[in-house]
Amino acid sequence: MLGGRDRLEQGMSEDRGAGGRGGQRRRAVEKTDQISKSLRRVYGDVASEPLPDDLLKLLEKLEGVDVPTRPKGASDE
Amino acid sequence: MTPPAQFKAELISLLPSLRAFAHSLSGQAARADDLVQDTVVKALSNAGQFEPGTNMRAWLFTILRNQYYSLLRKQRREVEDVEGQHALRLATRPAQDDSVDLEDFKRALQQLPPDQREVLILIGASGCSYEEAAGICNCAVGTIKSRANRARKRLSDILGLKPEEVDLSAPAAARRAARSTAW
Repeated sequence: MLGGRDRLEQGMSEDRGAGGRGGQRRRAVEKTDQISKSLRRVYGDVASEPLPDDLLKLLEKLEGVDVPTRPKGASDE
Repeated sequence: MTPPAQFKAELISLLPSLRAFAHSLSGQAARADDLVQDTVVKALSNAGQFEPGTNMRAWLFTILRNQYYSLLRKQRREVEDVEGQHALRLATRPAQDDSVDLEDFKRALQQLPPDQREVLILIGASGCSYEEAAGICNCAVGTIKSRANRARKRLSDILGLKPEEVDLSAPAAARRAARSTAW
């Protein structure tokens, strides 16, 4: 039978153990979370592709187009 | 650099992210590039409405998203697969294989309702904060969080992922990772 102090220490040890395992599990999950990994790959693959010709041609056409931008801090009034 | 030149330069620098968002949202390369082109034209013709110094990425994503939804409405062709029939055609993962096939993942992503898919892409891949995503999707931050959780749960069901492979609290970690890759 455990005394009060022993029970307390055992509890702390279990807490540490659970926390440690929980922490390890959290790290493992974050590391291997398949959805996050796949999402970043799907997005990143497209983002790192060169721009398609159609879009480059459009940008060339727009090169000479005047863009009516608003001065910084200007309001609609 | 003059304001118009600065506007164009920032717009051009955001095109890769815009394309990635459009591709993930629509699931079709041709449609995605049309969406990006329409967004660029619309952004330039409405450049006067953009306030310099504010978040151009969120502004462009909002334009693209609106274009996408109006296209969906016009075509009356929702890509949503409520019955999950398409999911049944997905390849099952071989035993011991801990990676998700990317093509299977893309197909699964397209099975999500558009409102869940867009949130997952914004939060999980493009590195948007919940607040930015709420602004882009024109809804409350709480709605964004619950859509992200439902989307992850649904994806994991479609893909047959084990619980230990999915962290439903992962959007925060995903945002950190997405921000560290500068798209």
